[in-house]
Amino acid sequence: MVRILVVDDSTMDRRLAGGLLRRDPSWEVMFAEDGENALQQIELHLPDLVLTDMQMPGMDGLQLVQAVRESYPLIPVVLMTARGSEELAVQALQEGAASYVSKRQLSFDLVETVERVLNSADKRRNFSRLMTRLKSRELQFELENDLTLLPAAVQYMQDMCGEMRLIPEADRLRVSVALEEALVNAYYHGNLEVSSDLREQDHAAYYDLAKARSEQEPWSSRRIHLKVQLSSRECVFSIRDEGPGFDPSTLRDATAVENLDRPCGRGLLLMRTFMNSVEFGPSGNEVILKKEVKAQDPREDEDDECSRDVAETENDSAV
Amino acid sequence: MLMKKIFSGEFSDDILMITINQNAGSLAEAEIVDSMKQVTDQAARPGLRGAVVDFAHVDYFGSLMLESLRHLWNQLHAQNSRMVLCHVSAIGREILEISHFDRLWPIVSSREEAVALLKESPPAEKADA
Repeated sequence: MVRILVVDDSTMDRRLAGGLLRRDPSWEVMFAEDGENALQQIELHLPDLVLTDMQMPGMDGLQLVQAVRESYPLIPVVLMTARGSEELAVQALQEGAASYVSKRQLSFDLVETVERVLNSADKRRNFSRLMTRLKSRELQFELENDLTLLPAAVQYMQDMCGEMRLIPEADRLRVSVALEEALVNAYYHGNLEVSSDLREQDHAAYYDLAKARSEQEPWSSRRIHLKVQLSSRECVFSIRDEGPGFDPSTLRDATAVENLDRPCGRGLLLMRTFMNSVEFGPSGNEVILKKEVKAQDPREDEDDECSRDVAETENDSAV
Repeated sequence: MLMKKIFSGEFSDDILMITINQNAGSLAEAEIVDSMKQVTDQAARPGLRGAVVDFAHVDYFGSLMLESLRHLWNQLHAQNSRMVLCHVSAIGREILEISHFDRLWPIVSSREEAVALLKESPPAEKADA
């Protein structure tokens, strides 16, 4: 049974939308009269889709979209738009609403739109389930020394760790911070060979030298090699530059009071704090960052979703 | 697509309110450095009591943000002005604590608290940090 929550402060509009949806006997329709009530209903009887009005007293449709995206990212939200709510609807779509249907066209477009969104959500949910069962993944990138490519690489690694549910969300940000620091080191200190000492002496000279070298041989053609091994045991990120390397033992302790005022070693400090281990290769131009994975049964999340089926339904209460 | 500047600063009486407009990991190096330059220019205003740095739009940041803030603080400190941070996320606070910058810059929950903190005492005496 597919469960759809209709959210609207107008009793008439709720009845109209509910009536259209109930023509499909496999769709069970629940109702809420505002955003707050909708969130309570979602918590009690997790729906497959939320259909919401935009302008409501209290929490409006946009705020509801934001709240659902935050807490229930796999539940799609479809908007019902009326004249005057277009701007709010555009914002809601930007915030992640799945689709919209005009209230004036409800009887023509609603069922088709809901069917399309449900199909798409189903695919997404199954893909998400599949990814949690992926046991290992290995990837290798050879990247130009290009600062615009590196954030995309970090985002991709963060997404992969998320898809496979290897690392909880808050920890994924920590991993991203560590990876950014390692990539920045590979870019500036490794491939372009500009040192922190120069930055300490003269900020502008540091960036001028980096810019000049990024356009000159041999620095400009150097690459960053990124190897990623993800498994249910650990995530290993190896980042290697093509520079001459360095002796990591020469790094200053960034937390020492005498160094607090100096721009040195903080990136490595963040890497070491946010990863379980950080090791340099013998030549100093490769760093290997490891993050342990805490065992988690991929079916746990599905069990949470299934638990809705035993919850008591009071779906007509708000009509 | 045009990106917002990483930092924006506006004066509220004798206090410079600095907003960090987006996440700024260390890969956003050029943007951070360019944008901080404008803020440090603003911070050079004579008679400035201090600066509030608002992290409300920031989930995380990296060593370069720390370095830029340290740079700003050096300038403020040299002119006997203070710096207070607000709306710092849990991870942001962790990053500040790890690097011990929480010892230099008070961290409070809101702009109002930050302003009150700057106003309750005269600008700090210049120290030797």
